[in-house]
Amino acid sequence: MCSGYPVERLWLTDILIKINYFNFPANTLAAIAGLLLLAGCQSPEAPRINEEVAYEVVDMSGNWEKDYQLSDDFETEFNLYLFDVQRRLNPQSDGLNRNSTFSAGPAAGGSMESVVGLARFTEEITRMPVLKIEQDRSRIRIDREEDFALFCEFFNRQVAVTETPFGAEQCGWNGEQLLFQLSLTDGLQIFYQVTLSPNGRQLNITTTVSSSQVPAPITISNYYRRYEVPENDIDCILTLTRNNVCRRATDRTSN
Amino acid sequence: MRPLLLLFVLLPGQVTLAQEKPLLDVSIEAFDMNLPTDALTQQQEEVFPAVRQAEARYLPSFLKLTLEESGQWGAVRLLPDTDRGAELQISATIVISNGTTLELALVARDATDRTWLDKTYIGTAVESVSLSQPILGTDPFLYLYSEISSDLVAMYDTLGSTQVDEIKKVATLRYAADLAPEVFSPYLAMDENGHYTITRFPADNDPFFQRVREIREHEYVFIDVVDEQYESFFVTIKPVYDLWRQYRREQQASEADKINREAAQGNEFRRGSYMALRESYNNYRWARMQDQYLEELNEGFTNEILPTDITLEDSLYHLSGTLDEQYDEWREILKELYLLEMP
Repeated sequence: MCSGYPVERLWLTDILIKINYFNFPANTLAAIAGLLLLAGCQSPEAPRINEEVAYEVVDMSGNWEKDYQLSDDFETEFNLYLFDVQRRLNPQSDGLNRNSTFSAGPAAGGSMESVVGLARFTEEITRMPVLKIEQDRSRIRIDREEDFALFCEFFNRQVAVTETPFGAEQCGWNGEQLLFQLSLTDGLQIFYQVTLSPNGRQLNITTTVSSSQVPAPITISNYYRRYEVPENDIDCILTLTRNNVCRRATDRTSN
Repeated sequence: MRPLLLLFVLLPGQVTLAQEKPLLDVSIEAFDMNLPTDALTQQQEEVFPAVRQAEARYLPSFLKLTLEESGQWGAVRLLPDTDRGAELQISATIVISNGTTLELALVARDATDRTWLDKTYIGTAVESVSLSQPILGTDPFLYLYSEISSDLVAMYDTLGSTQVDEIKKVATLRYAADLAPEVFSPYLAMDENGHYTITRFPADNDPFFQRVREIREHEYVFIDVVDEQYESFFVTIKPVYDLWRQYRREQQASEADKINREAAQGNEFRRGSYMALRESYNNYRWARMQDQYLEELNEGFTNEILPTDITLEDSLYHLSGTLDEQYDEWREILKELYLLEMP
């Protein structure tokens, strides 16, 4: 199933999460995940950026607003996440005892403060209520409010690496899915998977955040739908000496 | 007729008695951008193509102004390509230009092909705070241009009037030989050092030679148009380019500061805590937003240097495209004119 539309491949996280609403035991979930992966899906925790993509990439350009109905509810995800962490730290436990206390300390590979800190941080960086995506044949730019734009220049479809003194960013395509991997200081890793639905009307951004101080990553899946920005009759270009130089689009066409 | 300089010339900070020998005209070619071909290398070396493209015009414009201000030279011209009739030709490659450091590999040769300078000039920005200084006084690399100017003058000072005269004649003959090689090549020879020498010189009323001079004047018409373009570009872009370089310097300094500060302080927050994660993310966010702001500035540069059509006064020729293309086109037209009108 995962070799078909990329949107289906991406939804692995969701499938597992939705399945988990039925409170399957953890080992059952793991088995389902294994089957899905065997069927050609990629784990949301370890997606890989292809070194080379031989085909055209999908066009994600447009204005997108968050679909809160479809997107993950953070509270729910946080509970599931605690469950996952607990299970990892105490493999003997079936992880379903919600009343058990979270007892992991630093020696066990994490602390409550770190786990909650990672979750809180993830909630903040995954808010992204609106996105503006510009794309051409060799680059894509995802503008987010009050944050830096996710920008990828996919030279010959190869992985692009951006390095700063504070961390590095890799981006590229995995089939029709756009991936960004941020490796930051303090063992912080952020992974974005951006996928367009087959009909082009929906966009999914799955964000996986991990910290070297916490045993399990946390994943949040957000859905976006297109929205139209009111037509602007004025074309502007940025110039340095004259700032924005604007003219009516009708003037341009008449020239 | 070249003017002889027989008066005191005021130079910045000094008074010099000019020598009684002809002044040489200087032709500066737009600098070699030295742009890495692949975008990945550009990114790694922090070379911004749009800015570099602007620098290839801006930096020689500044050198031109410096040489003009020195008063030691005849006409100083900036051209998009090598001047085939240059008396003194200056070419340079931009090795590094990042706001903090400027490195230029510069070559100056006279018409006889004698090398005056083949030297790399490197310097770091010196901030200027005076608002009352003239335009030349405000560049953070002014001292580097002054050094180039001084080196050129030092070389010029070693030459006698006869040598300078010879350079001027060779320049005219090389231009003529380029236009009509079969007629004018025999006037030139090469000595054992590979320098051009004059075997004989055409008479002043030689019709072929007169025609060459006319054509050369036509070329100056174009060069004047180009010169206006460069000057206008320089004046327009200077405040912006200064800002860009200042921004780059601040960016580099604050990155270094931040790294040093963090190395000295260590991370104040406990590893893995919310505050530590935020600190890590915000640092990265800050660096990326700076990069992206710079990208926007680059875009602004691109919009400033879009090629402009030039229509000459007589409306006979319409040159379009980049200045290099226009110059090539114009030279072809002049060559055709010469061939058409010759007996």
